[in-house]
Amino acid sequence: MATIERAGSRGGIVQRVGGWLDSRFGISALAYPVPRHANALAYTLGGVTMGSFVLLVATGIYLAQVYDPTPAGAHASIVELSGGGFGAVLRSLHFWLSGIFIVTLTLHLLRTFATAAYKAPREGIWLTGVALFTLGGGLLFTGTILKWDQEAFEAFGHNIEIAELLGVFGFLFSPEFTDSVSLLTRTYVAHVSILPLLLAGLVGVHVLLVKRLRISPAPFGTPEEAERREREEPRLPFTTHLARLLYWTLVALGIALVLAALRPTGIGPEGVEGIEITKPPWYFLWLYPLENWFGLRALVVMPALLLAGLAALPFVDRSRERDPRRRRAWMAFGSAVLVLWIFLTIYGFNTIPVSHVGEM
Amino acid sequence: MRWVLLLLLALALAAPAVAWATEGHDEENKAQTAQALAVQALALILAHPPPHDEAIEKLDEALAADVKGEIDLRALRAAHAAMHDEDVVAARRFLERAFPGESAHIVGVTFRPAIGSAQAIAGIIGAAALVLAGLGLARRRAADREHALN
Repeated sequence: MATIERAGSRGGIVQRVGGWLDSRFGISALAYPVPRHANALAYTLGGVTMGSFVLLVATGIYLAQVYDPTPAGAHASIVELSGGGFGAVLRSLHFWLSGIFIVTLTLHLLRTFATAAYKAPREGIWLTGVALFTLGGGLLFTGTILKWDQEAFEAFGHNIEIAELLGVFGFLFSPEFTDSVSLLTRTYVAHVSILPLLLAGLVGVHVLLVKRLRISPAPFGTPEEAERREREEPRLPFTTHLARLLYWTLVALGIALVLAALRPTGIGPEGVEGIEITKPPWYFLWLYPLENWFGLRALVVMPALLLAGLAALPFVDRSRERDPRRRRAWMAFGSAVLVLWIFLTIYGFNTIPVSHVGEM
Repeated sequence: MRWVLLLLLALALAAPAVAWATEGHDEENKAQTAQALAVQALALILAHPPPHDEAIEKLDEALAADVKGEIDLRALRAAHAAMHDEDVVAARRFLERAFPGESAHIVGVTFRPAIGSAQAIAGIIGAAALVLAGLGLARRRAADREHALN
């Protein structure tokens, strides 16, 4: 009660509301100390990804009100939504936010790799992060299918073929799983409830682990120097970090809005089964040439290899070194993987698509 | 500034819902362009053995489509006639000539909303959000520096 009265006696309305909230929800407990380097942009990328996810959920709630998740109505409902006005803006905003989400998520992963923040005792943070990366990929894939145009049809066809390839493990993702609900509707359920719920829960675990094990120290110098610097580094309240996260999330929203205004998201024609005349979205384009060279199995094997490699990383690289300049072999390996990914993406973009049609 | 920020966020999220109520309905599927339907017809001919009923249907729709850009209509009509005469080889030859360019027979986005007043409003809100975020980050930076010194 005394706290409430104190809060009420303060000046501005913002302080009074803040005091009211704090006395009931203990918000001031968030002002625990964090090292100053945590406020650098490189250490804010995970929070911006989370902010983008919240905005994606908000825009997704709107989109769910007008989207028809049945094979007969899905495409027409997206075309109608894209017809103009703010519905089209909101769909474009959702699209561009998803791009920002995957870019910041990937940059966050790369920063964690470069600063060796996956090393003991933070293996759990890294593993939950890899799982979040996988779920993010799942959200992008299911989102691609929902628009139900030719590109979506082809992604959907790949989904079915991969499910068949996986046998028992792919049964859940095949049309044979149930006759009563179409696979498109089930994909929609995965996109709007199963995957976001899993992601939100896992983000909670990820964040709690960061809180428990602390933000990783700045990596430069020998392990001893890094430890000493960690002890001596000035501390700031975590709320200053939160404020930065909110501002950077506002930057993400601003960029997405400007892009939605300048480049509204479009849609392709109604899908036709059994043909292949589109290319995947840019974030899956690296798989396109691999499928051309090695067949459908590459779509299972290559992502599985990538994820298994990421998951195994903290158990393979067990030295105490964190400085990127002192981990040249690992940095060279990581750079090679990144360059290969960029090369495959550009190659996939430039591959002549017509050669693919006749092979189906 | 916090109130402006909150107002901006509320505007960004609430404006679309209000505007939706006034939007009209359009029966025409604008993504079904003649070019896209013709590419699909060609792909169906290449990918599937006869009968080519679905490909013929696609060519019928292509000739009836409202948007007939980026395709040679004479070649499309010739392909349509050849298919109805059951001359698949000729239809394929005409279709391969129907598209501009050498070999990029690919269908991607065939309909994109025009940039109108809603997009302009979104752009202005986005630009304002960027300015506010920039100001907020600059203020935060100064406050953090002061905090660290103390």
